[in-house]
Formats: sequence, structure tokens, C-alpha cells
Amino acid sequence: MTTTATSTAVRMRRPRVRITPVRVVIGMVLAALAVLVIFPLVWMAISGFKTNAELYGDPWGLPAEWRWHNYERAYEYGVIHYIGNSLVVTIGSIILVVLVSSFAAFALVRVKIPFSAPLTMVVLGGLMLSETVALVPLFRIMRGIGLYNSLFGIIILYTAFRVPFITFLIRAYMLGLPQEVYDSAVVDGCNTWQIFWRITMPLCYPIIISAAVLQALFSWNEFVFALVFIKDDELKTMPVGLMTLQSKLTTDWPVVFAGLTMSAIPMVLAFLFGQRYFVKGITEGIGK
Amino acid sequence: MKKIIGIALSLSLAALAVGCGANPDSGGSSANTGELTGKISFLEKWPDPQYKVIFDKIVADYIAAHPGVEIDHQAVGDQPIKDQLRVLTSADELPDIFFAWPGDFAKKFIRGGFAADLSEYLNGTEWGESLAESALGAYKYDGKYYGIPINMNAKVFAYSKSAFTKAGVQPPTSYEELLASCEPLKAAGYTPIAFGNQYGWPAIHYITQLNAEYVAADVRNADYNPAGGEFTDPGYEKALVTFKEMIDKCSKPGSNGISHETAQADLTNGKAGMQYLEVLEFVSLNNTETVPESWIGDWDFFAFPPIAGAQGTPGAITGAPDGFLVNGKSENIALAIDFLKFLTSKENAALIVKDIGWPSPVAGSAELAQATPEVKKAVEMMSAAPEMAIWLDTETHAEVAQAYLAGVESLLNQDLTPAQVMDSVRVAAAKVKAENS
Repeated sequence: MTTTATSTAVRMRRPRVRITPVRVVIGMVLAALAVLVIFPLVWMAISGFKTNAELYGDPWGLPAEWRWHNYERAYEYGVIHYIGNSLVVTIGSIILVVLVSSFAAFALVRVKIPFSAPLTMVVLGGLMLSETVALVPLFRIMRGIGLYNSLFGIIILYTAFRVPFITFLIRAYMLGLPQEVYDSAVVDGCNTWQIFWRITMPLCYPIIISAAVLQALFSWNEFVFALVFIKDDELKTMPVGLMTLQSKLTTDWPVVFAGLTMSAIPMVLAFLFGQRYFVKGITEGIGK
Repeated sequence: MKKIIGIALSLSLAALAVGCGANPDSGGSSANTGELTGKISFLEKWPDPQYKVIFDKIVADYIAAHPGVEIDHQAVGDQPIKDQLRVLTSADELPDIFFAWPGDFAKKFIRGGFAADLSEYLNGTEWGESLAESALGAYKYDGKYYGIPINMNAKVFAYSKSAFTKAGVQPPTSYEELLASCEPLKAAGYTPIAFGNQYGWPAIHYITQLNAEYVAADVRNADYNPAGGEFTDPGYEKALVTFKEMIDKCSKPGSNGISHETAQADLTNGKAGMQYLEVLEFVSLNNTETVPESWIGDWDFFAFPPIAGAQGTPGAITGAPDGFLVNGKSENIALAIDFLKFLTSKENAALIVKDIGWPSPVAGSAELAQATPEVKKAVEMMSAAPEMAIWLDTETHAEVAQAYLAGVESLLNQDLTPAQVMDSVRVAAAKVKAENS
């Protein structure tokens, strides 16, 4: 009995990792990479507690006094509001771009439609369109249809400009799905709508996650559209809002750093909680 | 699955309903029945909190005094406002009142018919008399006034009194003395001139000053005009040679990688002797939140000292006001003018001087606001200057300015010689001349 229990305990124990010189080197390289990534974030958060003089005079040191009021001022200047607007725009555009691009990719890959090859080229041709070139005509259009100075307008723009790329991603993934699954779905009596929702979308889960991550990064950081198409302070997104804290000559940098730290929190939290999906999504999706 | 998507869509629509304040402009309208009413749009370039409160207050005060008036006030930063104005102009949606730097930047709007002639509101009127001619003149084109200045600005050398004392040097009265002071300052452990050119404009401000020193005003005016740029005067190259000599001898290497603020921190933290900076920066030089206490009261300033034998305007000072143009196509010009009068009233100018330390072009505002001694001295200096040289990068056509910016950056990197920089400026000027003549 004792022998059996011991052997079970041995079996249950995690296998001991053998420390070899190669593993030590790999560990050190990974630790160095972790420091490289984490250090700027920590430096930014600490700089948010300093004065301008401390920031320039002793950029690597700790503040003489932890000035929480820098964070309070960033809050008073509306940083939370800007983050809220960015969240609305990011979540809205993720949902819209994933839906539209999935429909488009499915139609191009699985539905027999006339001129599907040239249509694919037209959709993918959108990748060539630069934001800056389109600014003036877009401005007129947005004013004309009443979407200027609204978050909904920004969501539409972010979606429209990213549909070609996201469609390109999802289409490439869908092309690799086995035909047999579709054949059996048809034999089982599924219509096109059911094939899309019940067969294709669950199979495309990894690429959908990738698309959502990439869209989140784009929408969270986009500057030019948010600058030109949003006028009211209450509707500004985070990148433009934080820019307003800086002036040409007399910026209070610690308050800007405090704002930057606060604005980084949602993305850091999203990454921490969804790390598994992020990494899986990117590796499985894009690598496909 | 359907349920999940349904919930996600409902949530996103709910979020949109909460977050989207669709607020399309209704456009201005005027019903001039004696009392001014209607809506005007106002675009300025000071969104940062310390300035924004002032502009917000002035706008709110005006609306409170004029119940039938609505002002659509937007503030966009120094750099992004260039993109904003470009898009708004192309889309024919310029605001009724908008910021413009003096020089060719403003003249582009004037030439395009986007700026109203304000001469009738300024010539011989009380309002016109209250504004300093040197500031108003920066927005003068073909003898007509197009802009209303909001502040006055100039470049000066701010210096650390204790650094100068320790090095045994006096504020220089000539360029030669300035150059000679660099060695003693270095020996005393200071970087003589703090200089950071990461943004490009700090070097251009030096070149603006040196061009004014070396090249006669009429030659410069002809060259800076897009239709007549030649840049053949040897003074332009001398200006670049002098600039290079001064930076090589008196500043840290690698200035293209140092920001203006970082260089300023060297000055205020006791690591540098002086810095060429704007009078508008005085407010941050006296702010205990941004500089060490040891710096407060330990600084003074002097104008760029004259260069012996130079052919330009002796005593000229680089600088220009910031100001506003009124949209020539505005349907509410009377209201826009009235608001600008209010903005530049003695009381509001005094508020600006007191709260943000800008030297004001409005007569009597400095006394009313009890401006700092430094600001008063700067205003006197600007008033006495025989010429205010407008920033080269806003005074010249954008392509010429770009050739200067890129050329001077390469000069500092040792990639181009002064003669090569001037060659590229002449190429840009010839192209602009061909397009504009």
C-alpha cells in the first residue's frame, strides 16, 4: 500500500526540469527580454510621480516625494473620459470589423457569386488606400452624412479601413478549412446561413481572435482620424486626448506620464486576462 | 452562439447609444437686429490645460454677455493644427476665426481669399490704436491688416547668473564676446549654450536671427516672397557658417537627438550657462512645479548680440506674435470681429498676461496685470527693436522652409556644408518661384 501511494505521488509530481547550461542561457535571455518590455512601463509609471525638474535632472531615480496629485490632475483633465471613448470605439470597431470581414470572406470563399475573383481583388485593393490621402474627401462625406464629430462615425471609419486587411486574414484561413466538413454539413441539411454560423465561425475561432487583437491595437492607438473627425473635447479618444496635455513649450511631463500610465492599464489588463487567447490567436491565426 | 452574438450586439449598441454624441454642426447664422446673435466657430492651438482654462473662460464670459451667441470653440495642438487647417481648407470648412502663424503661413490663406481684410476695423479705430503696431504689422499684406495678434514673442538668451559669475563672464554685448564666453563657461563645468534640435525649429530660430544680422531687410523680404526667392546673397551662407561655428564651439554634440525641453532642463538644473529661448517660455522658467527652487531668481536674459561688420539689420530680434485670422467667407464676420475685440480687450489681455505670462500686444495690459519684471523688460526690448524677424519656417514658403529644416539638420550632423545647404534652399526656392510667378 505504501509503495503504491509513493509511486502515485511520484507519478503526480511534475517532472523535474533539468538545469543545463543551454536552459540557463535561454532563461537569462528571456529574463532580459522581460526586463526590456517591463522596464519602460515601470519607468513611465514612476515618472508620473515626479516633478519636471526630477524627470530631467534624475530620469532614472525615484521621486523625492510620491506625487499622487499628478495622477489626480490627469484624472481631472479627463483622461478617464478619453479612455472610455477609446474603449467604445475599440469594442465597437472590433465587433463590426469581425462581422463584416467574416461575412465578406465567407462569401468570397464558400458562396458561388458572379465575379468573385475580381471582387476579391477590389476588396483587397482597399489595403492600398492610405488614410492621409483620403482625409479631405472623407471629411466632406462625414460632414455630409452627419457622422462628423461622433464616435459612431469613427467606428465606421476604423471598420471601413480595416475590412480589407481583416478580410484578407480570415479569407486565407477559410481557404485552409477542409471541404469535407462543408460537404457533410450540406448532406446533413444545413443552409448557407447555418454553415456560416455553426460550421465556419467556430472553426475560424483562432483567426477571429487574431483579427480582434489586431483591430484592438489599431483602434486603441489610431491618431489621424480621431484628430480630424472629432471636434468636441468630450468625444476625444485617448491618443488625441493625451496629446492635448502637451504644449509646444511648457509641458508638464509627469502629468502626461500619469495619463499614459492610466491609459495603458486597460490594454495591460486585457492582455493579462486574455494572454492565452492573444498568443494562441496570433500564432494559430497568422501562422496558418 | 446566436444568443452570444445577440448579447454582444446589444451591448455594443448600448455602448454606442451612451458614448456617441452625434453632434453635427449646424453652421453659423446671423440675425443682425442690433444685438449680435448667431454662431461662430473658433479654432486655436492651445489645448493644454494651463492655457485652455483661460480661453474657455473668455469664451464663456462672451457667451454670458451675449445670450444669443453660440461659439463652437476647438483647441488643437501646435503640430496637429497644421493638418487640421489643411483638411478644413481643402473641404472649404474653415472656422470663422482660426489661428495662423504670421508670414507665408498666414499669407497662403490671404492669397487664397480665406482671410478677411480687417483694415476697416483697425485703421484709426480705438481697437486698432490699442494693439501694438509691431504685432499687427506681422499680419500685414499689401498694406492691409489681416490678423489679430494675441501675444508678442521674441527669442532671447536666458542665462544663469550664478554660472556666469562662476565662469567670470558678463552678458555679451557682441557676438565675438558671446563666442569668447564659451571657453570660461566650459572650464567652470557648464555646457555654455544648451541646445536641442530634435524638433527642427530651435535651429531655424537661430538661422532666422542670423539671416536678419547678415542680410539686408529688403533682400530678405524679396527672397522670402514665394514669387521672388533667389537666396543668392552671400549673407545666407555666412549665417549658416556662424551658426555651425557657435554650436560646434559652445554646445553638446548630437543636438539633433536632444529635445528643446531636455536642453532647458540642463540650464535650469545648473548644468548649462544659457539657452536661446522664447519669451513665452518665461512662465515655465518661473514655475516652481517645473524648475528647481535654486533656479528661481538666478536668471536673466539678453538679446542676440550684434555681429561686427554684418550687412543686415543691427539690433533685429527674431520673433513674431501668434494671432488669428477671420475667415473671408464667414457669414458672421461682424460677430467674429466683436469676439476678437473682446478677446483683446485690456481686461482679457491682462488676464492672459497674469495667468499665463504672455507678453501682450494690448496697450496697458502689462501694467494692469502687474507683469513680471522679465516680461516687462522683454516687452520694452521688443518695442525698441528696429525689426522683428518672423520665424523663417513660417515666413517662407513651406518647401523653402522644409529645405532649410532638412539642410540645417544635415549641417549639424556634418552631412552637408553651409554651401550645400544653400544649394538645396535655392533649388526649392526656384521651384516655388516657378510655381508662383
